Amino acid sequence: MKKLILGSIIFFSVTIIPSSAYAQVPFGGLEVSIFPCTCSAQFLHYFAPLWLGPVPATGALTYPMGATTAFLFGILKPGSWALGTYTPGVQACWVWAGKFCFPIPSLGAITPFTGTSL
Amino acid sequence: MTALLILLYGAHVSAQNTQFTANLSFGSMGTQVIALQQILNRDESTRVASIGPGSPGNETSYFGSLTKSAVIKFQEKYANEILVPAGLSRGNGYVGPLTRAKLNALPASVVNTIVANSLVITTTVATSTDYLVKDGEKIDIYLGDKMIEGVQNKITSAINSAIASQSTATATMPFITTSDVPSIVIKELSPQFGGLGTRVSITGTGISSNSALYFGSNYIVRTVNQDSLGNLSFAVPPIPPARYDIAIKTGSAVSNTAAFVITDPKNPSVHIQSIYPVDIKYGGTLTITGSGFSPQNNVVVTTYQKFINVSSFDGKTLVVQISPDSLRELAKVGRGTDKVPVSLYIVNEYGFSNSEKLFNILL
Repeated sequence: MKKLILGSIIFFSVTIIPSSAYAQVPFGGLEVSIFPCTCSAQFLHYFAPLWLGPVPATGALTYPMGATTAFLFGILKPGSWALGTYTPGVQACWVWAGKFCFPIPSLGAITPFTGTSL
Repeated sequence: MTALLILLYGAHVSAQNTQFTANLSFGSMGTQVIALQQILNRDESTRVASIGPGSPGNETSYFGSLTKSAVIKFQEKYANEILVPAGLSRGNGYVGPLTRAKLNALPASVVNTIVANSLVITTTVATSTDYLVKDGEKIDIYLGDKMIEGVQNKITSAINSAIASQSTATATMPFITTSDVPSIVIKELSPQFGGLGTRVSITGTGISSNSALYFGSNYIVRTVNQDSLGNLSFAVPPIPPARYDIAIKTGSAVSNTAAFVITDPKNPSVHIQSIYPVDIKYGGTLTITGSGFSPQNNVVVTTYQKFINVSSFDGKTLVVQISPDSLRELAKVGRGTDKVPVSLYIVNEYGFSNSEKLFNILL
């Protein structure tokens, strides 16, 4: 039984908790465009400006589609200011084009429950 | 007490006074009613109300029974100038030419002296005319929004091109820089609604005490308050209750807009009860039921589409067609089974809806 519990802890530690959890980085930005990633169940959010550090930039981040239902008045939408953390890396938004899916590049994935304004 | 007065009257003091150009009576509405109540409230003997709507700092745009009673007191106080020439012995609450003449003849800058806790505080009362945009102050308050719309169009165009190409190659996205979007950004207004004198905090970038804040295209708050901690705020000015798009101008730059509602206590609150259907095809008609919908000025905000001036024939129903431009190409090639979640809320001159609803577009 002890082995089972220990094994479960190790399993969940390795597989459920993302290995990149520690790599979450703060960001803030004005949402200017949102697009559904119909092949990868995400939204692509384009921010301009996008603050990932001391200098503002622009760019896109993805957000899981299912997580939006957890919001009330918090869903990201154009014109809202988003503030939260994201996981850097290639998190492409895949879109259905009739026969195939194609990727739209992004800078990373927003951590669910990002706060918004407006 | 000092803080209270600053809250009620805002940072502006003015020597200007409203000229009453139209007759006013029970049922009248508008900025002149606000100004009328403000003048009546200057004198304790003609005060509209001591607390609540109509009281000093809470003047409203509606001429109701309290205003009528106060006007009668005003007419009887100045009977020799208002009632006697008209052959009347008692006030009637009707603001006609003689009453207006007396109101207009009052000093341009009326000083209120309030004695509270042995402290004498002197204030002057600002009226709606003080907040009218002058010729040299006129701007396109949607300049910032138009910049954002330009960026949206570029992104949509790039994605649509990728869809049309029927390729699996990575989409080529446009090169967007921070100069393509407004340098002044309103992040949040808190609260997003309130009556005259409500203190509203602003967060954003590029905003300072030198910024001017526009309520729509016609009204302006010329100075944003900044406290010692750098927090920015303004007091809701004495202008007509309505929904306003707020924009901020710093130097020559104009921000994005944010909605703010100046509330009127007599207005209903806005509730969304349900939306139908919950799963809707692109181009389909969405019916929203609830209460507190305005006859003509509802704004229905969704994730992908914003509908302005939506009318409601019964105050309980709104109908919109879901066909956002950004999803048009996706809808053409779609399988019809992909559910894309969309959020929706409503804002009108009565306020913001009590909740945000979700529905799905089938693509």
